[in-house]
Amino acid sequence: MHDVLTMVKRSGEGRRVMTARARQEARDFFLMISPWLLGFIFLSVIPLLLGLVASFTNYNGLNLGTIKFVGLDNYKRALNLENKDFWLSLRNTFMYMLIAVPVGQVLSLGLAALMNQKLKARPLFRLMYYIPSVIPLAAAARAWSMMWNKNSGLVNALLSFMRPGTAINWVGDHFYLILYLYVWWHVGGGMIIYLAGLQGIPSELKEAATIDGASKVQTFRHVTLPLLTPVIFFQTILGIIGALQTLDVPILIYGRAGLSGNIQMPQKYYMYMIYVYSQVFDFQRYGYGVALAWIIFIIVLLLTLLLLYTSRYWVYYEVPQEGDTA
Amino acid sequence: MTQAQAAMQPYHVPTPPGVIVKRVLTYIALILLTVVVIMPVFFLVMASLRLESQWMQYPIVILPKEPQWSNYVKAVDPQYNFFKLVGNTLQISLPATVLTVASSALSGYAFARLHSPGKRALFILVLSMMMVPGMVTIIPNFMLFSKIGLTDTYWPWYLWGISGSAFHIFLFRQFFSTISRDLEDAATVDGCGRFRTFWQIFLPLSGPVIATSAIFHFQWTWGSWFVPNIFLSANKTTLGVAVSRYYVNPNGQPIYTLQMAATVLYILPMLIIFLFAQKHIVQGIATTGLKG
Repeated sequence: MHDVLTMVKRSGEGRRVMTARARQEARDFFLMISPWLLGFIFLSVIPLLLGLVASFTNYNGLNLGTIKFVGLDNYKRALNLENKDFWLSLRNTFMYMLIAVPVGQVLSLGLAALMNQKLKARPLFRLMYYIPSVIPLAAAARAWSMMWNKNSGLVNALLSFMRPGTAINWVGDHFYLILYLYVWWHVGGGMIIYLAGLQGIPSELKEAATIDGASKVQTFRHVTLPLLTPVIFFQTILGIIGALQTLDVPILIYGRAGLSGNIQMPQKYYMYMIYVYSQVFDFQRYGYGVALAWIIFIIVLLLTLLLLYTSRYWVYYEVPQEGDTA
Repeated sequence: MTQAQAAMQPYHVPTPPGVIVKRVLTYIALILLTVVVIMPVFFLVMASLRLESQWMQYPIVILPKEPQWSNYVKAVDPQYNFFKLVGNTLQISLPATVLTVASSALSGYAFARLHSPGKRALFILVLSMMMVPGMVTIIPNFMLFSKIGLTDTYWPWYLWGISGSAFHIFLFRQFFSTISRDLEDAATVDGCGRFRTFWQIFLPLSGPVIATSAIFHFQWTWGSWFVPNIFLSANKTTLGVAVSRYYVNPNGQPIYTLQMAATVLYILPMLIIFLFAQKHIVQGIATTGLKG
């Protein structure tokens, strides 16, 4: 309300001429956000633009003397159909995203629905499910590869009780098993966000549905789920961005990242960002590497816009309240 | 029991067997899930207590009969630089956390409480920075920092800290938006300037948000692997980078039990902080609805 009132007041005073007080307020505003604004300009905007410029050159990170513009060559080289590394890594990344995002969201939501029931020891279970999220990824990757190790792993050891001598090469033969780690690491945070969403749904709505004779499943499908769509929408966008950027876990599990920067991992497990990483830091192809980074940036932007565009068909928005962002 | 008698006892309604079965099944599912979730951590701890000779033993040793607590003593032995690595990591995490929280709180306050032309557009820029893939800015950042000789120092983290972070600005902005306007007006009437209002009125009220923001950022810098891996040399590197490939014997072979012990020690502070602050963390995630 206050925003509206001040806006009305301002328009009365005339927006072209700011009062001394408003001018001072604006000055304070910019003073206060200046640390962020300076960082935004020098550590985000300028690097982004420099990167964009570099993506049209043959820059190798060392010598500015030999730099020359190559036009769209880096982009053409990346998108060339014969560039197997590019297409393979892009395919791996999309497959990963297409599994990770829906599975992660469904499990988080399912867990949240379970946690939303009246249960004894609910805080304890919630705590347990959130613990993986606080474990640093380098450590998590370690624990994971031990669990599924072919010879010394726990999973094969347990399977050996049923079929002695089980030695499945989980890590080597089943690349998408790294999704287990993704889900394990992300599900706790997702659960808490969905739980907050579920608890924000007025119970009268659900009661009304029950009185009208709706079953539990129907109530969930027609009352709870629509009201959760804004949360689902936001989580899906963040999930897609996160999944497309997957980098550390495959390197930690399949590579032996040395301080030289050389990641030494089999190419068939390349994710897109790993391909970018190796081009930049192993081969010093900065120009080409930044072009690759911009390609995924554009893909992310297009996917986000696509989701935003379709959101009007499936995302249910309440009337915005005071203090809401959008 | 006749029908009339049953009707007279409205207070003793036995739970239908179906409900009990369902409840028991729910608990079994929850406990199984807990086991699945906790198992990797449990297995890691158990592995850190093995004898090195048990590492490749078959069938595998799940629960070592004589737990080798001495692995932990060896893991922090000066020859492996454990404490130096912890020191390096803290030299990044602590200042970066303080700077990020301070800068983000200030920006969050300005976005929540002050009016200015261009504020809306700037806030959209803050939010849109969350959508930019890290690699797009990290590579040029690396090029820039190496040109001015700041790679292999901790300055990049401090500079990133000073400039705050979109996520934290958003967190603070959401919180400051909820504070009553009267408080601010009273302060203004008393002749309190904006910076003093922020410092003496708003900051003291925001303990829980500061805690959430600080814990998140500390966790993030403590756990980050990729950026220190490319920005820092062996001498300056962090514990997270080190546990994944240090602890080798003179022949260059990894000493697994020590790696595992160091990994457990690396996780431990995060677990302790989390256990103490879990209420704040849960609230912090829930109120923002954001988590990468």
